[in-house]
Amino acid sequence: MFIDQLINGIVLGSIYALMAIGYTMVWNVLRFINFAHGEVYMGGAFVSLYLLLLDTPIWLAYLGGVCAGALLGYLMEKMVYMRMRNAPKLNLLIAAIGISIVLQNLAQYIWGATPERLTSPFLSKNIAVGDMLINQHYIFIIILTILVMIVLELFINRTLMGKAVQAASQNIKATQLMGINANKIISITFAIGSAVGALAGILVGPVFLVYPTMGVFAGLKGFTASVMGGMGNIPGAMIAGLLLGVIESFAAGFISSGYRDAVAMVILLFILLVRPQGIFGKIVQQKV
Amino acid sequence: MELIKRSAFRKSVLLLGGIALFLLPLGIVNPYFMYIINLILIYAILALGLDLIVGYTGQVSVGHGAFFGIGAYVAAILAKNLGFSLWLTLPFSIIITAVIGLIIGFIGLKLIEEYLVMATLAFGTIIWLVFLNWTDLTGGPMGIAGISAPPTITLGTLQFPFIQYHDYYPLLLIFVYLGILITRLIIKSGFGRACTAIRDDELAAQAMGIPVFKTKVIMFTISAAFCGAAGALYAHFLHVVSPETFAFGMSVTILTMVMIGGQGSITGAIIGAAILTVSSEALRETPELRMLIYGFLIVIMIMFFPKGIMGLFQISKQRLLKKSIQVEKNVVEKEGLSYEQ
Repeated sequence: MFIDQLINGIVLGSIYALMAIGYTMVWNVLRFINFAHGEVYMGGAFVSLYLLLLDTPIWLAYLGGVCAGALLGYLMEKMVYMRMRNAPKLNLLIAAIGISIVLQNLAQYIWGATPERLTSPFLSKNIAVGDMLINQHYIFIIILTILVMIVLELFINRTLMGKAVQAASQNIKATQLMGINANKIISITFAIGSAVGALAGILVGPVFLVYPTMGVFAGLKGFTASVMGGMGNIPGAMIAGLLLGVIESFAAGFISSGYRDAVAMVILLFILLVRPQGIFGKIVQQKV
Repeated sequence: MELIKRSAFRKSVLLLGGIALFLLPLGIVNPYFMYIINLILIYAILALGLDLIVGYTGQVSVGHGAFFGIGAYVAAILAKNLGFSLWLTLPFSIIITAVIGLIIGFIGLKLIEEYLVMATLAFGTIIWLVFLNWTDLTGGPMGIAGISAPPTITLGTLQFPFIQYHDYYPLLLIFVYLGILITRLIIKSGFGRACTAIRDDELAAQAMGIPVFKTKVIMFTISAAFCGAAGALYAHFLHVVSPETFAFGMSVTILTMVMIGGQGSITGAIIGAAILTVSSEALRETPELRMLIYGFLIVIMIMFFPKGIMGLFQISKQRLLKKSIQVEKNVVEKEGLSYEQ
């Protein structure tokens, strides 16, 4: 029971960590919470599902979903957020919520509201560890998450583009003055964050099914994880995501499953009260 | 003198218009239209309440749907279990939401802008999950049905029972007027001015000696109480409450009403409530596209009218002003020329 919950928690946590990356990256460059990020997660899963229905090979279908997610994020930024650069943050927030309503209902219009299961090459197989069986798909999720995190770390720290993203996170105006195309950097940030978010949705598809509102709570929790890790802190978001998944899994298993979604929200409130800079964040003085 | 005359004229027009609005049900036969108008009135109270904290104090909440829900559930539970009528449940709803608003405000308003959004979001979601899961008290996903209508009002020999939608309208209208009156009293008072000072520049307000945190918390409490009142009215008007009404979407709807109408404007809040309610109801004709179009409307309005409908009037006013200045200049220039001649 204990080990089961722990593994479930780590799997859930991987998903939250992947989601948190999208929130954190966008926060870094634009200082705004992209409330439509949960819909990228849903969109990626649906596109994979659709490609599988067309008899696409499974890896291609997964890849197609990730690309669709990246495209969705890119389009959001180009069509809406970019045109609102000078608007107050509150307007951006409402626009993001509007986009999320549109995407949810678009998915429902195209694909219907019945939950469907994505196929996975591993779901039917188990691995025996000692005297217990672990689903191979769970292992797949964990390994892929770790891989994505390593690639992302390398991208951010080792490539020129990654350094430009870092620079944009620190001070977007100065970045522009240095001759970096800030709009391009922001678009790339959206595309990468959304691709990772879509991947999370695709990975969850075989376990928790795919339906138009699947992104709502996944989004809220990914977002909670990004706050826990310290808004804008990518490694922090990853660790916090795992932590949140494990806590939630234990709370749901041992306390009450009806309130499992409330656990994340209580943690969010608690973190905001006690350590608004996040577990791993530094205190930033409010600029006057 | 001219100004006093004009404002007196405006006041009397407003007063007459306000009274004339009571006669509206006489011209409307279709009960469905009456239902929509009543809904607009309830949403108007909500939007007025949220505008107090968002528009006038500059603190964004995406959790006011929860206050609305708490007001509605308190009324429903009291009416159902203890047989209270609207006149008893309403004060209870207001007091309980105000107390919860005070607590949440006390916790959340220490945070800066974006974090306050997150905190209110978390609060709203928790409350919604409580509605959904505390089955013994709230009826779980089924909600509570069979909430009593308000008791018949007797004025001398006249009796006003509450049977049709038409009967609720005057009552709701009175509450909207009360809401407008209270809002006006607040924003014209020193306290209200302190709030707008905080909205415009928190640091400067603090430097002027305004107790920033206390002022914000009080305004948040009042704003929550507005939503509580609207909740009680809603419960007794629809006779049924269910959790999905008060999910995150409700908080967003109220906030969008304020934004689309125009922040910091009483007229704006009411216009916003009317636009969103009517467009959401009108789209019922095409149920499968309804929410899709609704979402598009929100995105487009916020992109192209960032200051809301009232913002448009402000712009045209400024343009008029500029134009009149330009005309004066032109006249002066022309006259100057004629002098030379």
